[in-house]
Amino acid sequence: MKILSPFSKKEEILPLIQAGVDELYCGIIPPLWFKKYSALEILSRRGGFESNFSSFEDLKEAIQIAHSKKTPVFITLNVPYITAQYSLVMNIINKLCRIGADGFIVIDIGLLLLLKKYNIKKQIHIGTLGNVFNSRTVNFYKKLGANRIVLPRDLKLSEMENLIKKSLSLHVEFEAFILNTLCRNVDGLCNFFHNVLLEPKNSLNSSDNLHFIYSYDTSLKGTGCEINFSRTFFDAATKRKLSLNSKNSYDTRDEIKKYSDACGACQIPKLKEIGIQYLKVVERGRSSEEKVSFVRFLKRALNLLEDNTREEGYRNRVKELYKDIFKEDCAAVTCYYA
Amino acid sequence: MVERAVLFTNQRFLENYNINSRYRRVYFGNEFCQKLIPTQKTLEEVLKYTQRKNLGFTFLTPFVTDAGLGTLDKLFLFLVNNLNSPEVVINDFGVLDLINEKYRQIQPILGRLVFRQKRDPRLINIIRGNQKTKTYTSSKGYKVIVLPKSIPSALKEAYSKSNVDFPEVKGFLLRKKIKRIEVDNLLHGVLLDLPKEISASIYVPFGYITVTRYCPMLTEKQKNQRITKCNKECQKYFYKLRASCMPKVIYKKGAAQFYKNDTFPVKKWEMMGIDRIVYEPELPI
Repeated sequence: MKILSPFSKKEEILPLIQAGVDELYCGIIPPLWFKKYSALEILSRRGGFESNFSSFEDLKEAIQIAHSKKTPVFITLNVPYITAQYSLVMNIINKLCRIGADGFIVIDIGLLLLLKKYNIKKQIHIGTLGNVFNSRTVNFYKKLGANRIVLPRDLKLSEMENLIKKSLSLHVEFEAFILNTLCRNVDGLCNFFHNVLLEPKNSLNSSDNLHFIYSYDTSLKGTGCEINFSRTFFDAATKRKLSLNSKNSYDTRDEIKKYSDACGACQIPKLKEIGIQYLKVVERGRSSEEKVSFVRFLKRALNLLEDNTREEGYRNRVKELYKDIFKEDCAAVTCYYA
Repeated sequence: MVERAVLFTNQRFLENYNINSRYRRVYFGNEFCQKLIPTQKTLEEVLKYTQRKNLGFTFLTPFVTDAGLGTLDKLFLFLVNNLNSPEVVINDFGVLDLINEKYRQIQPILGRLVFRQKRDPRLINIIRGNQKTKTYTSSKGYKVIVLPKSIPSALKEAYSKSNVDFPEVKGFLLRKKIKRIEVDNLLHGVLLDLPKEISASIYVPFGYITVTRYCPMLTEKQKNQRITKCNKECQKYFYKLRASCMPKVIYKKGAAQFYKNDTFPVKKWEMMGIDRIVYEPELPI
């Protein structure tokens, strides 16, 4: 099994490779995109300059460093585009090809068709936003040029197993999320606005006690799952209001909460057994130290796998490893594949 | 001329609803949860009901795992044996693959889960610049004043448009036998550049925002698990969610969340090529 990690600075590459990463991925907000669309909606799902490269030059250097260590770099272009955006996106892809990108993580049908039409010979990964819940969808994307499928984190292990088993003849690689951000909503079907972009307002004098910033959304609530809603509960047939505390009330807690520290390491033996070849660490915006610790943890977890054939023994030792590296117990509530 | 259809996810609601003569078609099924795919018996009864009332029939399908695909496979066989060129709304490209390969008689329609739109109700404030200045005190003790900024015009367009008129996409859809797409009535407005070969249906008044496989209507014990044993509590209850940053109430029913938009610019829709309005008398799950 191979470990795939995000990076957002060229300085992160060598420490990540030293920690044991096998493949890298990142995003970019090129100046030509930013000028037209701002950084509020970008070429990939995760916004913000701290999560993305902002120049091709820096990214080119980063790719060269990674390639010097025989580590491929994939670029996330995992959002849907509108007709008016395709020429700009293809212009960016051509530039990315020229600076040595090894492949693209995409979900948009139009973009897949263009990559095929222009014979872009790069790895094509269907991102989790591509909603591959069954083997027929694997077949659908394979015909559009996909080499690898990133499975949605919402699938149960048994469902993944069934899907992979039925897709064997397609010779597609499978990747699964393993660390960070477990959202209750299906990522590829969630239409909540996800970005908050803050820009300092330089024309006004900021002092130590007073700061001015600009935002497109002054409520500063980016993702829908981070909004604190007040809730009222109703009978569907009569539309009558019911008490939230009544025995008819189902799960009135914060059920759409996002869990940042999610982990699926306990299930690595099972993931390997069912045919997952790549383990993906998510959250490009994490600090460099965190990203390295995630990879170090997974590398040691994979090493444990070599030592322990019995699943229970592995599970206990990986939980100890989690505590050793992250200085806290793993929480069952944030388990990806429980 | 715009065709009016009425959407039901529940047979009981359908039979208790007085479908008046304005409606020429019934949409039935479920887009959001494979646990709610109707049984063949229910489908048969609904089909008979629509035939009795001389109404067209469109079958709604959700995103599915391989198990769900198996269920739909049987229902599609039933449909092609009982209807000429049945309409099926697909919300999963795997379901489209199944139809294209095995059921060439079916007319697939691109559902609103696979037709990508920017649906967050908050976008209306961002697009129209209805933002208020916000002041707060940071954790470090200084005062922060957040000033609204207007978004670039190209982004406004990106929030309302799609890729359906892109020649590669149009050609692909037609090769896949898709001649109709399903869209939500966005609060900030829909802008469709439909090619002449493709028409569209618009759903009113509920637009979907998000969907989960961790059903919030399960019991506490099942809370952190994906949907396993289902007692269809979503058919009995729903929530209204409110937040100051959200310009509309969010309706949460079962696995999905919706907003309600009561503005229906029918003339504008007609000019865009939208030739079917799908009315949802209940939350569509």
